[in-house]
Amino acid sequence: MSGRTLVGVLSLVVLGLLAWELRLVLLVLFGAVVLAVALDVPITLLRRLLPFSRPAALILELVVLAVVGGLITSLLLPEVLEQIQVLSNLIPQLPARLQTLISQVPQLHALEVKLVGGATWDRLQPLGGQLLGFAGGAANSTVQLLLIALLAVLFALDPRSHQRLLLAATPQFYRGRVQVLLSECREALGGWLAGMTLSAVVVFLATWAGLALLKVPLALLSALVCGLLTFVPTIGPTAATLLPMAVALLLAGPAKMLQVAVFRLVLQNAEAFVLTPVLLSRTVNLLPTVALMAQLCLGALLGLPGLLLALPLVVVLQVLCQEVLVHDVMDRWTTASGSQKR
Amino acid sequence: MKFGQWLALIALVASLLLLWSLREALMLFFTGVVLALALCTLVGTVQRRFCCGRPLAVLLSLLVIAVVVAIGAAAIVPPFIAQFAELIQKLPEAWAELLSLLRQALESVSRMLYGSSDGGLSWLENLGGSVKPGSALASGVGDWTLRLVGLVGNLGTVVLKTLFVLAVALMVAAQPTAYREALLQLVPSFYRRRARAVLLQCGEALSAWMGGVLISSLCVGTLAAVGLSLLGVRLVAANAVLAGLLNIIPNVGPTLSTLFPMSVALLDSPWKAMAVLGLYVVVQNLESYLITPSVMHHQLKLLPGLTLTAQLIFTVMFGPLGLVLALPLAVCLQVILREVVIHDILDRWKDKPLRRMAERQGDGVTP
Repeated sequence: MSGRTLVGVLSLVVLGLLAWELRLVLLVLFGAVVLAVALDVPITLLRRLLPFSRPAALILELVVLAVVGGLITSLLLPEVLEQIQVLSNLIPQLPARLQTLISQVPQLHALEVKLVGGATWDRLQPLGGQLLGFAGGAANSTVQLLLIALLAVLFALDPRSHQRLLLAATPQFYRGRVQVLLSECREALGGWLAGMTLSAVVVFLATWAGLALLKVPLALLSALVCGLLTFVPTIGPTAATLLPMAVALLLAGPAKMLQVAVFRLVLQNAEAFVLTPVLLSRTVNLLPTVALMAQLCLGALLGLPGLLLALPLVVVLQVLCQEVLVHDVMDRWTTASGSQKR
Repeated sequence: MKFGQWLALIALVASLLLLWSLREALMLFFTGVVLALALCTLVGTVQRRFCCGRPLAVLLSLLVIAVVVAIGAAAIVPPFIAQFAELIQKLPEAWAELLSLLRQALESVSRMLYGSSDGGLSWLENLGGSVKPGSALASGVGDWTLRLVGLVGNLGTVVLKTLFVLAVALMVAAQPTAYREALLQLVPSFYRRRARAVLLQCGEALSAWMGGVLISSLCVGTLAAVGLSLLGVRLVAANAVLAGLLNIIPNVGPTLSTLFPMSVALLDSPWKAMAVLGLYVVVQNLESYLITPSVMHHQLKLLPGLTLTAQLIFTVMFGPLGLVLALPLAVCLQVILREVVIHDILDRWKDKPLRRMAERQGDGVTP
């Protein structure tokens, strides 16, 4: 082993350990990249149609986004605010309502008595501490989100030079391949984002219409939450269903809750098994278990941010695995058999 | 060693460490795959029997499973829950009964030895007193609620994990070939054909094992039910179901399943408890020497010591789920070890220096 190899191996190990220590920062960076790709998709489209420079296109896009967002919020905000207020009035009633429901079932009555008897203020004090920690976490995540947005704008402003930087960090003989890899990752991520945006919009509209037809109150807010949580497959829609169900239970009774649950179940399955595969079939081909498994593993390794960013991460990882591990390493590995059999 | 080889080594070590830290998720995934395999076996049988397409067969078998589960739940679960609750309530009584029996025996022995004095045995009474459930409950109501909250949280995670396992099982059973081919992509190309054969063998071994376990569990449950009802022990259904379920875990499970009926029988009379013990020993021996060998394939035969070792190792590595899954894991590992390590590596490993040495010795002897 020559000195050069030793230095290379050592620096590689140190870099790996450093990356592991900084994994949350790297996750923020990855979130910024995802957002930058999301910004980049319309920019590329715009520049293909009209002769704009990149900064101008970016500014135009941001302005359009701000205007559309402002319009939507000014149209929907009063209603949403009103609904949020109603909701915040309703939430304290939820435990009481659940209690009355539970006490109607005789077997659960004993359990409920025990629960209520024990839930004095002393027991709840650790909960207060948790709430404080939660507030701190919220501030922290706001800062992180701002950072992600800023980084994304910077990346989207000049993606070419960032790409060149990454390219310069790979060995000469592999640079052409890395260029192809980067563009493939970009394509997969862009396709995924576009498909998911479409499907989230569809889910939002369908949920809104369905809940309005079922005459469930707070339809708009619930639909908004459901649409946003579509970006976190498998777990998100299930969690999102809880909100309209709770509202229906509070304001309309258990029968309505059942209706809402069935409606959301049908919609969610249609989205997961019909709409998303059709939208994504051209760009990203993920096996369903891979997505689920990735969410579990990344959630265990990186916490909630990992869970939220699991799907984009897995899209990129799949492209990298497919190209580097399978295509460049495993498919070419034929000489070893000759040496082994000899 | 060149830099590329070092790179491969480091990547291998890092991925192994990552897999180790994710072992719980991997165990859940393995559970899902085992369930999916069971489903696939059923689907294959249905497909062959009725000569229909795969989607129809999947639907049919899911329907069959749903109907069976619904009937079983309707028929067994309510009496089982009632009896199980009674069983749990009776356990402390049985413990007290056992203690008093022990105390009587010791007293009689001491009376025989020392005449009428029965001192020095007060510690046993204290022991009996401290186990009373009521006092422990009354002293720690606060702990109780906290524990209840923790229990609810645990229940939530258990429900989530079960849902995850079921989802994985259904997804894998829907398109098993796609998953197998995806896994095979990660194998060097010169080894892919062999790896596919090994994977198929693993699947066959697992489904054979599951069929065998299903039959032997049913037999054990039936035998236990018949024996217990003949002996007149109460809570027959609960004990029979327990015996059948715990039969999946060898060594540990049957021992555990003996405890419950014995404690119930002890409430009636001591000789009945001994009779129950005898019954379970007979049933276990019937199962392990008559039913299992006739049901399982020869190649599946795991040595008893190996089974126990596997259980110990997997429990230490993966926790309680490892104990439950020890046998399927061992079956898979056995196939992989036999085919890959022994057949493909060790059997071909003819050491050149050794052979040369042997030749040289032969040269030295012949002239």
